[in-house]
Amino acid sequence: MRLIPMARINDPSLRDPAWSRRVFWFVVACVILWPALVSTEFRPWVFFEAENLKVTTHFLAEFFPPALNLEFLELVAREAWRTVAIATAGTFLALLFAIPLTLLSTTVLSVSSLSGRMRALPFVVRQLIRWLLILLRSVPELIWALVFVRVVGLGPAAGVLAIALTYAGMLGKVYGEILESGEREPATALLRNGAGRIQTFFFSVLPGNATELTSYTIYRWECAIRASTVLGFVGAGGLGQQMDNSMRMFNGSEVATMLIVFILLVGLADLLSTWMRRALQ
Amino acid sequence: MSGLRVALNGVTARHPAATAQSRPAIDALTLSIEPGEHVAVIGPSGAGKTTLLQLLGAALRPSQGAVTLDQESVWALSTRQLQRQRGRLFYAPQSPPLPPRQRVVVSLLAAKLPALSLWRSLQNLIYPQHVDEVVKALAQFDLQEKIWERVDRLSGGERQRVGLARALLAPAGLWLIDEPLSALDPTRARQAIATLLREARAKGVTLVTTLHQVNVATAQFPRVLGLREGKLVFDLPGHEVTPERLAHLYAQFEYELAQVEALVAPEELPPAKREVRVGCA
Amino acid sequence: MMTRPRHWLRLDSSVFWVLFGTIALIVLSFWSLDLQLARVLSLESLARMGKFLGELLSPNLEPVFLSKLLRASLETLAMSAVGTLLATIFGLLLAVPASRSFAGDPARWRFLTRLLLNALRAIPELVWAALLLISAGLGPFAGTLALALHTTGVLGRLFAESIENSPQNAATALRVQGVGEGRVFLYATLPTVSPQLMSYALYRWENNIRAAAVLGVVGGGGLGQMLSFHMGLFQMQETSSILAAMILLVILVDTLSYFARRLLSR
Repeated sequence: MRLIPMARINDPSLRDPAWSRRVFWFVVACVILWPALVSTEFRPWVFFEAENLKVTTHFLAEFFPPALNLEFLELVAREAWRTVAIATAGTFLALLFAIPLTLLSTTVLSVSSLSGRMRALPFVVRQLIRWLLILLRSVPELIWALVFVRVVGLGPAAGVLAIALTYAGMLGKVYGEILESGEREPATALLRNGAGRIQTFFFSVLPGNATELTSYTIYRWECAIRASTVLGFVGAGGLGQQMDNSMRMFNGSEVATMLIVFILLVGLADLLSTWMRRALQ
Repeated sequence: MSGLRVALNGVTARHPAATAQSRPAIDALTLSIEPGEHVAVIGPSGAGKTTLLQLLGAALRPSQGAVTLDQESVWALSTRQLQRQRGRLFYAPQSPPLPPRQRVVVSLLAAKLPALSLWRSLQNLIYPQHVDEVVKALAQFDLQEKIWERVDRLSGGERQRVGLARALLAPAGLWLIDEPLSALDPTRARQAIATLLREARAKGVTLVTTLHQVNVATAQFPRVLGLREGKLVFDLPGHEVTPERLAHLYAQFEYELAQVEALVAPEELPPAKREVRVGCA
Repeated sequence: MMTRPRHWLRLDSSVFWVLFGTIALIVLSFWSLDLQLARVLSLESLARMGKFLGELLSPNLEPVFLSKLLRASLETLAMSAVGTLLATIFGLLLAVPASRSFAGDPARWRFLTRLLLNALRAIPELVWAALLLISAGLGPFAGTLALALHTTGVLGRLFAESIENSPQNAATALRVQGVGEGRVFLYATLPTVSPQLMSYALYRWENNIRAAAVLGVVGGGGLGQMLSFHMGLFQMQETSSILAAMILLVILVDTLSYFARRLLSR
């Protein structure tokens, strides 16, 4: 069939217009990737160097069987409990810090905004508290732990305080978001009728948002268990510190046991937290 | 490319999510379609039109009865043989099956996949091949300017026409098209149905399409199937479908009938005027 | 006859037991840890902490030190970027067998792959880093791989869930034509979910820059290693510069990630 050329032809380009753009960005990505790989000393063959390979295979070989002698298992059980205790104590203190900070920073309990715009001083105070929460949240708990280990010495106290401060920031922020996005009318109604702020909190704000608040708190507790293991590596006690010790001594079987216990612990905490959240619905 | 003969024999089918007690979507249907036939399926909502297309396309397994493609019982084939048979089908669902951020050219080339080797398929993703074929197919629906556009930048009607244009690239002997005109204005609708019929005739493809636009079905299709509550009510040439039969088919669903009557009866349009010059031939 | 409302303090109410268990856990925790909070929060302790924090307020700004700081910052940034990139690639590769592509898909590898992803996820980045240091030695490589391994678990699971929940329209049309699952994935499923996958990866980068900054503390290179070094020597001025650099780096990556996600959704 012959193609009949018409007077007015709309001839789209048959070449892919996105091609040159894609090639350009691909080249840019490669150009950025190369120095990044160099900077991170990305050398996968390092694993296969004779010395490293020997250490690795020996270490991994010790994983089977994991250390199962009674004395060690008792130690691991004790340290696992300590990890949970550090996480629980830290989250509890975080809660103690976060609750007043949330109450002070939320606009749901604002009396001055009942009659229109919030007055200047309450607004400033609320903003300052919010920035404090951001500050607490921005510093990783490991850094706090390093600082506290220097100041209060090695041991669980450093870990508890580190978690308490960082999580106070996180809890405060999310509590604030939950309250702000919840229903305000019941609270506003109480405030308009002359109820005090604390009263309003207990009779309206807290019951109204209790499920979400508790749910997030339990989730944070679960995260705290992981965090407290990590903090153990800088001397804050618990399972992490034991793992660090065993790794320094290249004791593969002990490390294997502790990894297994850690994964089980995290899994258990996950189950517990899911059950609790469901029970509270 | 020659058309497929497709037949249903005493087929009963239910939706995957339906209970065994509910009315089957298609009830003891027997039907035979010859190669190269053009068939329109009409009926009120819930009649089972889409289910019928899915049965013909071996996309839904019947609970009773046999589905044959070119005399071979589809569900008795091995998986590999069935996959090869499927390569000879083309199915255009009611909602155009186009990933939003994909470009029109790639969406069209996807329809050609049964005819492409693995290597060519991968090549197409990096740099589209067969662009001239794609342009020709889009030109039949007046969409050649949109070839390099992203699908989500098109209007609803344009997306639907892209979905239909895919048929022209598929290496299929059977086209199963579900509601091809739902988002198109009368002019575009006329152009679309004329293009589909013309191309199906030129390629010798068997065409089965469901339509809500009853007047288009009766005027343009040599064979019209009336479906109601899963049963075949009539199987007649288009011109023999009288208003009384239609009223009987759409009883209690008259409002659906009234809507489509508002469309002007289409005339036989000459083929698309615009031929696109490809290359320097 | 009026029925009295059930008091929540009854012994068979699950709320009661949850509350009781929680309080018991908290009390036991404090008791068993023997935190000596009185000593920790004593005036002497607080004074020391105050002095410590006060020393942080005068950072070291010498050019020589700043150039070292810049190099370490770039190293940390590179760690987070390469780690996240590797995790995106391997997460996607693992997400395919870990997801059920369509209802009725046998997905034989799903259980095992999900198990692998959960194991990768469960172990924190720092623990991975400590393990990898044994095989790869000190430096940013171990840190990068640690990030990559943990994030592969996280992204792999998120990707698999996205794939399972994605609209099936385009994929089904290709399956009716008998196209193999691999090409269905490349031509239909992946184009549909890729904006969401990219969004997840960019979010994860924000998390990973924070993780990369601290991984160095166990020897994973970058700012963390510098921090551990200088803090160990009680060099507070250098420490405060390093902390400032960390905060700036986090803000930088958060901003880049935000704009990249905005760009993607246009």
